[in-house]
Amino acid sequence: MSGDILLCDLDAFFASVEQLDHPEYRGKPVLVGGRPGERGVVATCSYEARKHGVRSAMPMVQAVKLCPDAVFLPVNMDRYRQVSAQVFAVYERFAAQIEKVSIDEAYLAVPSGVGVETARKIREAVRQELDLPVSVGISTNKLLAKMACELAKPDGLYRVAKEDMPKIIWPLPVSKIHGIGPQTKEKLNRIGVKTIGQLAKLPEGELIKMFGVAAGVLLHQRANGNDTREIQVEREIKSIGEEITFPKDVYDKDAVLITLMDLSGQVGYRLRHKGLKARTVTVKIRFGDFSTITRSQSLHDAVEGDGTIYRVVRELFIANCGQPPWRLVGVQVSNLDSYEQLSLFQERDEQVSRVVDKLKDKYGMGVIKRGSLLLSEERKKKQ
Amino acid sequence: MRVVAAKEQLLNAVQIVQRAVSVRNPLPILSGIRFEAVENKIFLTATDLDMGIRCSFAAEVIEPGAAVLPAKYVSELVRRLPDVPVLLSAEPINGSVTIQYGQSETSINGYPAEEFPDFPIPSGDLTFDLPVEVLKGIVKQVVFAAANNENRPVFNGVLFELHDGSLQVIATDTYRLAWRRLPLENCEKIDINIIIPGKTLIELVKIIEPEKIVNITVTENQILFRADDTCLISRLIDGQFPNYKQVIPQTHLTKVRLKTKELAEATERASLLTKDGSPIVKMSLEQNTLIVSVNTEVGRVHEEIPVFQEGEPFEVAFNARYLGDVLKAMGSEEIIMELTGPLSPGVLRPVDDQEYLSLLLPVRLRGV
Repeated sequence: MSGDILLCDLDAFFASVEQLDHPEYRGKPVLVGGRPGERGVVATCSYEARKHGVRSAMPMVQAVKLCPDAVFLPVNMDRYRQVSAQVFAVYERFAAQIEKVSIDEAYLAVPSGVGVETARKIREAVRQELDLPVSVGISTNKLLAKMACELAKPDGLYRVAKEDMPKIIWPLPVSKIHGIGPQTKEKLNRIGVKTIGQLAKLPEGELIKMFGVAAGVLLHQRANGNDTREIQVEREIKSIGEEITFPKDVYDKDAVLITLMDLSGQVGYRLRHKGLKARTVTVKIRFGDFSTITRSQSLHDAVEGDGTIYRVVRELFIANCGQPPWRLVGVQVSNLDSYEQLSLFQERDEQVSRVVDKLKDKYGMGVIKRGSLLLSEERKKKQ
Repeated sequence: MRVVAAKEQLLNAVQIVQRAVSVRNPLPILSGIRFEAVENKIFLTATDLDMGIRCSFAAEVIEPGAAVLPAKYVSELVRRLPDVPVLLSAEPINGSVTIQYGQSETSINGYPAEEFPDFPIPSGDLTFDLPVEVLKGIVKQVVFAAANNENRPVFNGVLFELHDGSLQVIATDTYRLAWRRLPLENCEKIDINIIIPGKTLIELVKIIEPEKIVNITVTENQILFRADDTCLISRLIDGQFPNYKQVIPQTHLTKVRLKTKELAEATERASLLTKDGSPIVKMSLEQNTLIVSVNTEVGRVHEEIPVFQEGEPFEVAFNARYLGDVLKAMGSEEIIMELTGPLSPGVLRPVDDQEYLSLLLPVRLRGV
């Protein structure tokens, strides 16, 4: 692994989302977790609450004592997942290799040397588009990126180069190394090893005697800033799809086609953001009686433009739509090509779609729409 | 219609015109072949409305007339006939045709002959000749680069640009481009710029016998190829072919000379380990060695090819299939490859032929 590694961690994620959704909570201590009266624990607390000594995983009862004026909120996981997906969509624009660690934490691999610049762009994009704070640690491996991220918090970025180890990392307590729990820490403290620097200087053999071969070698490596773990990209994407169940069964074929145009655009947007092209387009149709069909078409050339996808979708729907009413329709693309074949004369539809993507990225998804979509929305409003 | 024909000639004509029959045409009659007996000849015609083929041969016409028979059945039957004279008799009332051979006969139900679309042979002054071997060369070296894509029809065609007695033929699917220039005698006054469907040229060279001269006539929207008793008419593709001259690089940073076969074989082996969705081979050049490599879940390939290098080292990735196609079309033992960067078109040309080249667009790999 020769590139830069970023660890992006959303600050006090659940609390930040609540403060985003409820501006009146901003600037106040916010505790998300189990109810104060019950046996719950703190899932996340805002930085305002941390000032009072509240920590994640602390029993709520104790948190209430420390910070009685805080806003106490239940965990709204659906909402956090939704926001998390939006954040990851931003990450995907900046890095091809992403390892999702948790709902609010991810490692990103980027080419060597562009780590800091990418981190700045990501922080800016997440702040501008989603109004959320994200801290980014930058280094050349996962271990150092994670430590850099600790130093970046809250709402900052920090880069640790291997050479900076003695100055920045070595004075830190051993417990800052990911994987050193209370027991290991206790054992090390007992022999007088408190800081990472002291641990780094300990002979490997000593550590092996204390912790066994595997753990000993690892501790030695970690304390010296070595980490060869690679980014574990989630399983390869096999398909991208969007579907919608109509609020009421639809009898109007044109209305369905407009919905399919919208779905094609959403699928196209995601496809292009992943830098992929598709060679198969599938349409899913569920009728009023719940019977469901899917029909696919494979294409000679891989496609990525909204218009091209919709053209195939439209043909498939018209050929297979049967009798109304329709209850659900979906668009899916598969057989994905994971590279970009450069072209001498780019297709207009692709050019247009890419410009539209840029506008959406910058100003939000609603900033530009196809004329027929706008017309149908106008009509709905009048009704 | 009543006509006696030799089996071999009949079979040959059926097989030629059958190439214009389209299986999935919405017009049922177009799945048929039209037979017409006139004076001492029989004419066979088929068309899918984009392309039509007519083929004639001498036969003993007893009673002139016409009939249309489904191509599928008539071709399968004629192929299996004994080698004897065959008598075709049409029943004008129901359009069926009785085919008699020796003591036996088969009757096939046809379509009403008068409903078959007209097949006027275009005429005009814009006409020139090309040996079929030249056309075959064009198909081999240029047509492979044409697209097969309904969205952008001009790329399904081959640009024929005839000017000052020099013919330039270009095809591109936008991922690669092939260009061939050849001098044409007696054509100094002809000026044409037309897009011929790639499919037309592919079919054309299959139906013309070797060593024939093909006479070509161009009209506003059609092209006619004629050799002896066979003619093929095709619609021209309407539209503007992009400015190909603009995209052919005039300079380069690196030039390598290598043996075509070595690169072709290395590419083929390397592409064995590529995945369907990503047929990518990487190439890098250093110190007179071209390294072709592939690294996938299946395994890895590392091939080294000695080359003559002029200029800087480079790294580039290509679609293995496109690269293979381009190499196959080179028709030269040694080639020159010129590159200007990992995202610019590579130029490949035969060492001793300035009149032919292919462009190949690289692949941009995702991630680091």
